[in-house]
Amino acid sequence: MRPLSGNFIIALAGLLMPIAFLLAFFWVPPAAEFQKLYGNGQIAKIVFVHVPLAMVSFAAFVVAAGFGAAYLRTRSLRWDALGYATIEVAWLYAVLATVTGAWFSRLAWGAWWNWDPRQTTMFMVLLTYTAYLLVRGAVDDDERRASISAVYAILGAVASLFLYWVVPYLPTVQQTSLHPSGIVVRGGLDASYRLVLLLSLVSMALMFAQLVRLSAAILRLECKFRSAALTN
Amino acid sequence: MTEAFPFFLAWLLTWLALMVYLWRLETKLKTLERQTDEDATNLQGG
Repeated sequence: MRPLSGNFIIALAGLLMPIAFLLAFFWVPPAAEFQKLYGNGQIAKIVFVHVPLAMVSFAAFVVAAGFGAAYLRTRSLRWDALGYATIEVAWLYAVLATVTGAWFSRLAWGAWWNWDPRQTTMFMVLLTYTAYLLVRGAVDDDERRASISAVYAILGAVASLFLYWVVPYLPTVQQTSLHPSGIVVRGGLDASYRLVLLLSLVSMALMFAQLVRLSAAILRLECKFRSAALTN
Repeated sequence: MTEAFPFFLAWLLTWLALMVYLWRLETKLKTLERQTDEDATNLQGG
């Protein structure tokens, strides 16, 4: 049976997600600056989906590095399961952030993919963690796999930090970027955007926590079965 | 209202993807838990 905390998390996420959507759809006004730039102020609302997905995935990659460090210190497979579960779900979030970003790109700039610095760095992060998932699948021994994964998670987080927060802000890169993050940062959106964005961020983070809990529980059980099969 | 369709579609896609993934994990976990219970029962019985 699922523990109470799991029920609570999923209930809260299940409540907040539709509330954020309804507020975004009916209450938040179209963004004037987006209307001027792209001819449709409503497409600014994609930030309520795209930004939380990207933020949660980035935070998760950093947290996974922490789990990796904890594994290297303690050699407990519990940390390995948590680290893998975190990266697996963060990878899904990063894919969804890329897809919703491409959708915005299609609507605003007329093409699904523009090789915009933001799109490109996100794509590189995705490739980094796709390789992590493939490497994990290629190693059979539990402890060897956990050690490789832990080191990879730490290096991956350093690369992500660089790709998310350094490359897009380099002056030469910023000049060529079409990404509308500047509008959001300088407060070019209505105050209601901040509230709904926060609500959406909380709901997606809660959903993330629940997905990681389930995924880690599955990994622990699978590991137990493998050990039992080896001893029999 | 049709101008809000892109946002609706982005939200729907995300929501569906997360729900399908959640359902997949829940189902897999339940199957494994059932298997654990069966193994424990077999051990007690044997």
